[in-house]
Amino acid sequence: MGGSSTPKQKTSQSEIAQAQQAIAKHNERIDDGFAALEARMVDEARSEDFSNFLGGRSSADVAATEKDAYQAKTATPGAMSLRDFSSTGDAVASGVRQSEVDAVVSNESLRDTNRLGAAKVGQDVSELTAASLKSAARRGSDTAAQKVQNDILKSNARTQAVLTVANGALQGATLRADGYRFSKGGLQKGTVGKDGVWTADPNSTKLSPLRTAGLILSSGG
Amino acid sequence: MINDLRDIISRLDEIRNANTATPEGTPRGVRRLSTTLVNNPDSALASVTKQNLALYNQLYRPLNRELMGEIDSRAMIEAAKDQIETGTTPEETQQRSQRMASRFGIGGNTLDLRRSKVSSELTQALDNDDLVNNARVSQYERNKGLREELAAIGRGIATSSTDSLNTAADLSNARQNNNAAIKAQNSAQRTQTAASVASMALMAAAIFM
Repeated sequence: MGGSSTPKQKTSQSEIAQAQQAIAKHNERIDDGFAALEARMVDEARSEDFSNFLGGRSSADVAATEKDAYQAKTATPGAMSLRDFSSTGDAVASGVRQSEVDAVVSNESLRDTNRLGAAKVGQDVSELTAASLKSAARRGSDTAAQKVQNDILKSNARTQAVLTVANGALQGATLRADGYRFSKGGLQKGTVGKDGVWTADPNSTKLSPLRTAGLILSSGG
Repeated sequence: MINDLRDIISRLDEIRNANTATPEGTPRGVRRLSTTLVNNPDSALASVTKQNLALYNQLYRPLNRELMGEIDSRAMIEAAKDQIETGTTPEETQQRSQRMASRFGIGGNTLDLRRSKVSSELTQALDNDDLVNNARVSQYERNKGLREELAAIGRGIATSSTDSLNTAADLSNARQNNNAAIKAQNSAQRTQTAASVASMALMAAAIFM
């Protein structure tokens, strides 16, 4: 009884395979550079500054426009004067100033787009974490409920055991008080004399050993 | 009779499968399944899963790595720079214009020549700027798009990993809970048995003494 081992449900192959696959996928994400890529995207989205590039590009556009103006002016040499070139210079300066402002606006817009893109990936990470936590909470709850059930089962068994033992003791004591003893091959009623010696009542029915055994067994629940 | 017939069909299936050549180009490890597996879907699923895993590791994982290695590509920018370095110079452009003009008997004075030179230089400088700038924009957009797609693939891998871990954790948890329940039942049963024995002993003691 005490030496018998409790049967156990062993770890299934599918459980092992599932865990192996999950760990392999997690490692793949790290080994193949996906985790580093995410970190880099977030870092770059926060730190990248395109204003110099955008400003340069806008300035080039301004220069292209002014190049056309220059060519138009030099096409008629007789009409050329210093004033014409100074107005060209003014237009370039004005265009560049505007282009610098436009570049800042475009830079902000581009940075916002990139940061929002990274934030959306972050939202996915957050949702995945929430789903895992939910799943972990459900498992924790299942385990706690199972523990309560197990504790109730064991507690009931202990209470029942006390009652069973008490029942056996009570039945034995009652039979003994009523004068029953097992003697000479059977259970029989009798009386205890003043000398303390039990004597069988000749008129009482004797219960055979088999029936006596049945009576004792029934007291065990 | 029917069972015999099934056996014969099953054996014929096996022979047919053995004789069916895998089409050329089929990835290593990917093979047809025997129709006898209809009686064992679990085994069929295990086989298909193994094949899918082999296929992924053999084909798609190297592809992912290849793409990952190209997220910092500068090929477009380098091509534009090469073009600038090896392309026509302003001097060559000017000489070509002069040759064309002389064919029509147009000579041009010093101012014309100077204007033509400045114009060619300006045009070329701006064209070169435009070429490199456009290449930079295209390269940036291409690299950014690739990174975003790869990040999405990476998230998919993370989700797949977490889902699998959740399933494994569910299975493990259910097993542990079952074992705890079995242990509790066993303990309760032992307590009950011990109590029964004690009860019987007490009763027996009362009537035997």
